[in-house]
Amino acid sequence: MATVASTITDPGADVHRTRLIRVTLVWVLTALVLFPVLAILGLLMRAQQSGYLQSTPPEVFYAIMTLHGLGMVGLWFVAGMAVISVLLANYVKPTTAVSWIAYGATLAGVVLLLAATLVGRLGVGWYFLYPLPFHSGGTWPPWATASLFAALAIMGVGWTVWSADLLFAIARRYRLSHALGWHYLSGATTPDVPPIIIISTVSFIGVLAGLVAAVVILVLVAIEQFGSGFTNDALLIKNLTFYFGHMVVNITMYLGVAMVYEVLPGYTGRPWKTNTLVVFAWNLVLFLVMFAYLHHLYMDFAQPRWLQVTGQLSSYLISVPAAVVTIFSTLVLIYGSTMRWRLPSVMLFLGVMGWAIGGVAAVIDSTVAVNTRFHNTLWVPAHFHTYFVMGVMLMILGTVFHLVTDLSKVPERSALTKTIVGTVGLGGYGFLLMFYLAGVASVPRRYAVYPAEVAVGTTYAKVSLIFIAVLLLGALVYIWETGRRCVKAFSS
Amino acid sequence: MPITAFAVFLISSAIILLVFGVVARSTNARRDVNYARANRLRLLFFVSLGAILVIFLALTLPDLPYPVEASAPERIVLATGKQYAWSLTEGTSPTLDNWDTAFSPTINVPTGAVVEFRVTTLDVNHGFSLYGPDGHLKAQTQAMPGYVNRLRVVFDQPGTYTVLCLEFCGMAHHRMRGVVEVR
Amino acid sequence: MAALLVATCAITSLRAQSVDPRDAPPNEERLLNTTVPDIPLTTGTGARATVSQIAHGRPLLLAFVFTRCAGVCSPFLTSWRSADRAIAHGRYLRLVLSFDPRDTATDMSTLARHHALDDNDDWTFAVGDPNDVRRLADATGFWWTWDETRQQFDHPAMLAGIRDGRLVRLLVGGSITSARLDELVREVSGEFVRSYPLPDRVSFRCVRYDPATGRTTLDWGFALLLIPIAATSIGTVVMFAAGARVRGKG
Repeated sequence: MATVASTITDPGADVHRTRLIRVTLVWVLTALVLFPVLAILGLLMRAQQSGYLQSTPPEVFYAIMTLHGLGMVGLWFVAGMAVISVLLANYVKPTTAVSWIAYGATLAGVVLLLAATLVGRLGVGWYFLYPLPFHSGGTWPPWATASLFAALAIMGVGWTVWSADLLFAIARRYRLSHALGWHYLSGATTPDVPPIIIISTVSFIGVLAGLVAAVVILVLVAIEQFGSGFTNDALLIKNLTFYFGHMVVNITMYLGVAMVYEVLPGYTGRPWKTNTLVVFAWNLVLFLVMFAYLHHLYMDFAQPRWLQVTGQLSSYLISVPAAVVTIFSTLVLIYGSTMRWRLPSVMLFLGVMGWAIGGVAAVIDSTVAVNTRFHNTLWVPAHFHTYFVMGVMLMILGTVFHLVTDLSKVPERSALTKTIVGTVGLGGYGFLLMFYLAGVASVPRRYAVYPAEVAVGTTYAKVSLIFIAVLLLGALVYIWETGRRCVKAFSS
Repeated sequence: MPITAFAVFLISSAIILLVFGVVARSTNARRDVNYARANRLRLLFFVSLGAILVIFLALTLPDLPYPVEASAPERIVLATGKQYAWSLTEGTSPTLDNWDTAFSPTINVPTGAVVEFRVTTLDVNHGFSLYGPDGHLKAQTQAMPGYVNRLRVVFDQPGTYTVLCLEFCGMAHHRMRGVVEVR
Repeated sequence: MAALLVATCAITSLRAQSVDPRDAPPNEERLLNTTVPDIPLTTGTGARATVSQIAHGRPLLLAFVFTRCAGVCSPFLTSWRSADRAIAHGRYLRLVLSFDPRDTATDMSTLARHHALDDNDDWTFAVGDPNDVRRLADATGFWWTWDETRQQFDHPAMLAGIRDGRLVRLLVGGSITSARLDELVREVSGEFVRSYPLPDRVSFRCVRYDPATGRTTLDWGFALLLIPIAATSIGTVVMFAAGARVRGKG
């Protein structure tokens, strides 16, 4: 980690960091195995939508869709957490054992999810909107629903402990007011708190709130299932579901952004210090992220009008600190610098760009008047895949490459860098464009087969197959390059 | 409106690409950043972004799909979702007990009339969406268990409108449909 | 009293699956938005005019009674009047129409005086030609049958909300609360209620349509949404307090 000055001088720190790096490498290797598998599931879905897998029944599509969605959301969340814990270890001491516990819980959850979806053919979508898990229509057995909720409970506990431990690691070194950078607002510049601490604090608080919302859902659903005469309000559960779902996805994005703040300065040769603006932006984000989820419920007319307006206002507002502070500062950091353009820095740079583009698409869809035409069309996966594939995925994978290259001392090959960037860029944006165009053409999301009215969706699905193949090719080159460095770093 | 939204998206994305491209190229030759100038630029960016967002808010907030006042509709259609079909009836809506005999997948309404859809569901969440003869989404509302959502639509053009499901509801989600014949 | 019981039973037996529609309560869903006939009436003051002429562009709430009623009619009118005074808003016509062919305009005038509503422009007590009244009753789902042993009519108690000559809402039941009336008045006055809950046994409701204000407000079930924020805030503060102690020892 030559690029980042360690501020821990305690002699045990190195031993501790080595242990933490080992568990993180295990996380990374697992993610590198699961990522192409889950991506291929996405390819299969688009192939079925293209009409190529006619013999595959639709319930298989929906089971795969559920696995792809839950898998990818979970994968990038845990990858983000694992990578951020190593970066945080420059300043604080997260517990290695807790990372292992979270790893075990995640593996158990993955096994349960695989059983539920692939064996049980559970098809509920990644946010398992109540009461769908309990109305299978004969498609999946009750044990598959039980398995889903068991998986959620186990992973929920594991991730809660993990987030709490990381937050507690920060708490052991910083006061809350310092961890959130409030002293900068009153003009003080000491103690020096790096941006990653502030963003991580905001993120872990957000994650915990989202996971608590999931616990409330599980409790309410359990009371209904095992109690008598208790009926849940579908609107309340939907609010809680998106509170949880939006939060986890949104925070994963912020974990990626925290990596940009921490890693990119090493490549530009310029520091990225905390200042009043950074503190103000991220505290505003902490506040607004609690309300942004409301934009998922615009088409629920039962939701009070003022909550819908709040949804649009908070979704618009939350884009301001991201654009004016993080994205603008990234550009200033790079402008005219002696930038070392390596795979990590290119990926971080492109990740910020993807975040900006996805952000525009998201703000457009968070407009109530536009949402009546875009809600649950392919515009929705278009924008969140922009965030994920061209945003946070690039940020996390860029940081991973930065770490493993540093640890394994295997030098980067510029031809391969160009191949990866070219294929991922072309394949990624091409595949996203097909989603956007289909969304504009009102093609619904989550359709195994397109009916005659929206048959144009089939064409877009076909074209996207080419781009996904290109994207996968780039991803496989990246995985090979990273994987071998990972193994070398682990065995050294 | 989707086209306008897409145009806004494309233009914004092009600007983002251009700015990122310029910044990436700037690293070819080292130059110092004038931070005072950067901060002035940031302020300008902040003000213009704020102005754009406020303008969009002002343009779109009056266009909320939640009317407060409404005169009597000319027709009231009871739209009921159930895995995996839409029922469109006037008079009485089907229940789980009499679904097979009472449900109707088709309804006729006159062109230009104010039609109110009272949308609900007998099982899981569904998304009531009206697709025009051109295959484009015209209006939608959620069908949520325990709630009746009211959606007012005026069909200016005659033709066959399709009701699809826009909230994932299970195995045959994509096959849920109803037909509104506008004459 | 017996008639009241009969009427109330007919009204509350929501799950009655009988074939005879008269055993079931008037069904709002079946009648929604149907055009109601504009019949000529003779009011308690002796004037002759059609319903629309009396309403004069206003929406109207219509109730059927008979003056010799020993059951639900009188308490029903009393609860309507007091609920009407409680909400004290809305420009609409209150029309009380007799379905008993024996009733005269004078009988209706007496009934109005009995309820202290005789000198009130918003209230009209009237009779009509029996065939016309029957047509109006059919259009609004109202029915009656003659019970020979008790020498009384069996009939439901209901308010029909009519706007622009069409049925907008039916309020069925012998007792009218101000909250129920208020919802009906808003609806009949053209206020759009974009979503309403079905009468289910839902345990924690997230939002509630409040008829008193005509707004959808948060119900206490929404408080469950505050648990994540509250729990996390407390957890964070506790964690940082514990962190400070660790720091103090170290």
